[in-house]
Amino acid sequence: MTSAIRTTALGKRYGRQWALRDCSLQVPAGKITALVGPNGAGKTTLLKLAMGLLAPSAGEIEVLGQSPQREPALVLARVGYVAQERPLYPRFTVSDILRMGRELNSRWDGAGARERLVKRDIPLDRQVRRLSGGEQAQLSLALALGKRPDLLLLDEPASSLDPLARRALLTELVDAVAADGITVLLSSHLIADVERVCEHLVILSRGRVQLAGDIDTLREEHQMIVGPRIDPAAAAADPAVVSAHHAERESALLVRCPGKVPPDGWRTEPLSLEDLVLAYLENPAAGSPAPVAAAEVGS
Amino acid sequence: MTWLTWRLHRWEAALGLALLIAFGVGVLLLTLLGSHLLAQIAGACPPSTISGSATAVSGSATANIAACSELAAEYQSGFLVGWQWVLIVGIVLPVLAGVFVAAPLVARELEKGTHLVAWAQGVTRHRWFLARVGLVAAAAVVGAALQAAIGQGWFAMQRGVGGGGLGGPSLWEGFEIGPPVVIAYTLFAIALGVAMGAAIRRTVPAMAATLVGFVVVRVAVGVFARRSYLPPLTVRESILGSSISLVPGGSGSGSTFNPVSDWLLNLGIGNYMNAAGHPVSSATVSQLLGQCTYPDDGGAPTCPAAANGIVQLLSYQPASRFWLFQGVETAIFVVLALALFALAYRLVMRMR
Repeated sequence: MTSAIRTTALGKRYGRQWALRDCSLQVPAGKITALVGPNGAGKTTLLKLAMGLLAPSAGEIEVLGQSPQREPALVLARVGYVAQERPLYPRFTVSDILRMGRELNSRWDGAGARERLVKRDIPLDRQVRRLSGGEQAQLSLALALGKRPDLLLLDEPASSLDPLARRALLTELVDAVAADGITVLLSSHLIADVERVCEHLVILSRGRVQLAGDIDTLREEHQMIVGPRIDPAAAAADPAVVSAHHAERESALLVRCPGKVPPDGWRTEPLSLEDLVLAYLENPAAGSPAPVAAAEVGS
Repeated sequence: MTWLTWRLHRWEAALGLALLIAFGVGVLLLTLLGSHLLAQIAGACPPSTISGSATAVSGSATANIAACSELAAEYQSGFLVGWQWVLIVGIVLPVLAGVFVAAPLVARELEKGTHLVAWAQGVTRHRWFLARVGLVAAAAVVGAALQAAIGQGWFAMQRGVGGGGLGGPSLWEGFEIGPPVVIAYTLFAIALGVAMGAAIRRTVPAMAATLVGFVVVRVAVGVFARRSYLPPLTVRESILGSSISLVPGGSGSGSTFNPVSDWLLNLGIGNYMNAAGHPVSSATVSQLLGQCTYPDDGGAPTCPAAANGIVQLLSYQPASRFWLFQGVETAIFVVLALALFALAYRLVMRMR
């Protein structure tokens, strides 16, 4: 697996507060990876570190084989980025934004960017501040895609958009990625979007990587099993148990037991990606270290 | 980056150009209004009056003096308006550039978050800074040169036609609209604005800090530093002189004080000495002068004998040092500007 982003013990501190700590992860090339985690987990910090907008306080980050700090020109030329607030100069027209893209990027694809906007009926002579939120998001994406990036970093690309605009944006994204083979790392807390679009998942929690893997693999490895009530302490002690809910007679366990059949008396229940993600987010202690068996199944 | 810089600053550029044009037109109107009067003055007043040395008026010219001074008074009242106009615009334009163009340059990007777009394009932050700040500073310097040329042209004309002798501006009064220092002030204002914006990161506070900082530095240099770029020359003046009569002396070996073109540093301030060279208090001097009787015909006053021989030490900077002082002040502000540009660059590069 080649990695578009590789971090080693990466940390970022603001004053005495660590926004990201001891983060080691790899973002596979050619896939759409979701970065999931609660607010304040360090998602935005990680994306800004990858873009070179922030400098690490500890550890290393490598983007497309380069350090964003030491080789900013090489990284900036090949990486597209859309910040969470999707800032654009409000008095620029859509054409001005495209002109800016052309002036500032050596590999600019003006025709592609214009076509993308015309397809969405976004008038080129309209000022950014008169565009709807969805249109602004489309414009930001068009600007980021227009530089023909090898890697695209999107911070909450679909947040604060209505469902139609969100669907349109994600469709646009998937189409573009499929056409050009771009690597995408997007942060989101909308699991439904992640499920629709992403192939790889990284869960960040309290500045650390809690879980990382291909979504299909993760789904195979995890099971929701329901059986007779067991001792909560025993469940909590078992490293394979991600989360446990104990009713009067029954216990429901989310377990990471790759390839195993549940014991007698236990039944498996369907597990959605959302359940899986939420189970991890509810139990920040779960997930590290990853069970040894995961490697066997994954290979 | 050139296009982006232009697109972000085009209205400011247009407004700056409009202000310069308004300034030029204003000066032109003042010139046209004044030229008629100046022609009359040139006809009515003998050349010796205009040359500026009041003591040189000869008896044959006395008849013209009355008509001449009437015209001169009329001219002066009109001239003062123009002088204030040129001086105020000359002082205000650089600070406008610093406050409204330079201070928001970095601060507004950070405040609105647009730096996340600008710094995520295929242009490094290093290049972004050099292009944005460099182009804005270059444009401001060109504007300052135009402004200084307009102001200086008008100023030189006033002095050339005889404004000096008629109570117009002396050479040193025009120090702050001298072309080199106007350009240096402007560069300093831009550098200060960019640095304040990068340090404070919020637009309005950065603008306020730029305004305050600029005024403080300008006033401090103008009031405290400028007079001592070189040790002043000194002359002794009799306290009885109704017109200025001078005894050259002190450190100004061989040079004489010229009230029209030299810069008097301690006008109306103490430093009295009697003939024996001992200091005399200001109170004594004013008491002695209070006992003087002034004849009705405007002739020389009669004063107590003790007043004879008391002199005031005047210190001054001669006209010959004007351009040297322009150079020194220009260098001070250019060095300050370069230091502030360097500070702003470091701050921007370290925003991580």
